[in-house]
Amino acid sequence: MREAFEYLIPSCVDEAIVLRRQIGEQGCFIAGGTEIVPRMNRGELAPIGLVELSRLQELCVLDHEDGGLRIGAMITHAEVERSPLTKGPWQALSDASSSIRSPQAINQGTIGGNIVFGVPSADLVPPFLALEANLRLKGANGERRLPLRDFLVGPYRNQLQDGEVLIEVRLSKADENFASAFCKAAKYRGLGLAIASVAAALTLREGRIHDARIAIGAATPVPRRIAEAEAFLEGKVPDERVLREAGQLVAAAAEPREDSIRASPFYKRRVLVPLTERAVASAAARSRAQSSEDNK
Amino acid sequence: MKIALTVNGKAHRLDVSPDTTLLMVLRDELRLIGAKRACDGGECGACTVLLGGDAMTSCTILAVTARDRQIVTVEGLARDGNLHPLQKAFIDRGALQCGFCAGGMLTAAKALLDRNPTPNRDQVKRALAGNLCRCAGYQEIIDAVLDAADTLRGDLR
Repeated sequence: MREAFEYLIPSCVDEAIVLRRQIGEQGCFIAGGTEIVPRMNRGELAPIGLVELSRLQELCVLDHEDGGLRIGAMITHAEVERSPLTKGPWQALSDASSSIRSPQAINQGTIGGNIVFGVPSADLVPPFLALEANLRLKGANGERRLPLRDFLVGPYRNQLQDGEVLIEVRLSKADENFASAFCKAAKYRGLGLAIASVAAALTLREGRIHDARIAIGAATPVPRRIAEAEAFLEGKVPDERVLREAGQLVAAAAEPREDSIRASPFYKRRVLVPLTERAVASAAARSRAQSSEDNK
Repeated sequence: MKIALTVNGKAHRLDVSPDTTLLMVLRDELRLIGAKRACDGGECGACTVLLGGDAMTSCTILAVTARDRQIVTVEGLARDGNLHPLQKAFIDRGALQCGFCAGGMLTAAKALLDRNPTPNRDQVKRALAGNLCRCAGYQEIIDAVLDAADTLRGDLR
């Protein structure tokens, strides 16, 4: 039986899992702390112990592997923003990380925390959904992998079992000329908590969109892909009319909450149209730039 | 819990309760009160300090999490009794009214200038986007940061 509040510092992931199970359900893992510490300060969360993850080297990997990308759960938004590895096909990630609510939170917050907390407005989730990310999880019973889209089950709810840790996010090798972008509406020039956000990923071939993936944040209970807009965009030339119609399909599929303090459902639907137009246009422009780069 | 913190170049050995924030240790244990306690939730930036050179809100970091790292508070900006060019520029521009946001504004601005000695106005705004000033004296604060950048570059020549 443990008495006073404890802060435990494991030396590896396996030890972290053991410590977390010893504390029991009233313990928490702590990553960057941007969510947990304010909640503790307000008395909304009173764990009997915390297990630190932020300094575990196994969770701080950011590397290419087989043409894909591995991003450790404890990589910070600042690291994603600055890394040359999160550019090219995966630029939506760097767009999203650099838009996190303040420079201070960009420095402190982690990719893993952003995913695991399950906030409906989590900025990294729409880009990762559009990039079809897979998660590597580890617990007392070993490792498993799960697509991100199956991981999030509701606001603040995910598939992590007791004592399980998110190790890393994996992206598979991108097709040639595949490109992505992320756009959001927020209070100050795209910085701040998202009112609504859109991630787009696509491949442009002979001027036409293929394999479009559109995911939205802060406008559905959990961020999700919008299949109607994706199907509509297949084979289309991204002109003004096409972009507008894709935006309208996204707005129609959104399920904004009535009681959001940041914006009314009417406003969120309205702003999703230009956000979609910009995200798709930007991804298309990046795809075009990559193909002209390759032909040099 | 016994921890070592290096604050403004000085090493401290402290015995802290592990649920105490870095902000409260700085203020209550080390008596460095330039970092202010306001929102206690990472919303206002008044408690901003540099941790390993990066601006972070000390109210969202537990003191134990900051162990063995270099921390700089606004008290660490002046050298040998001489104000830092940022502090001088804030005075010259009249950039502060009540002054409650000063510690956070100055440390956030220092993080920017350490990384980017030639920021433009938009880059300054972005670097200060996590810091609120309730007197709304933002224009003068931005002007002061740009002035200080000029001064610092001049010093290097």
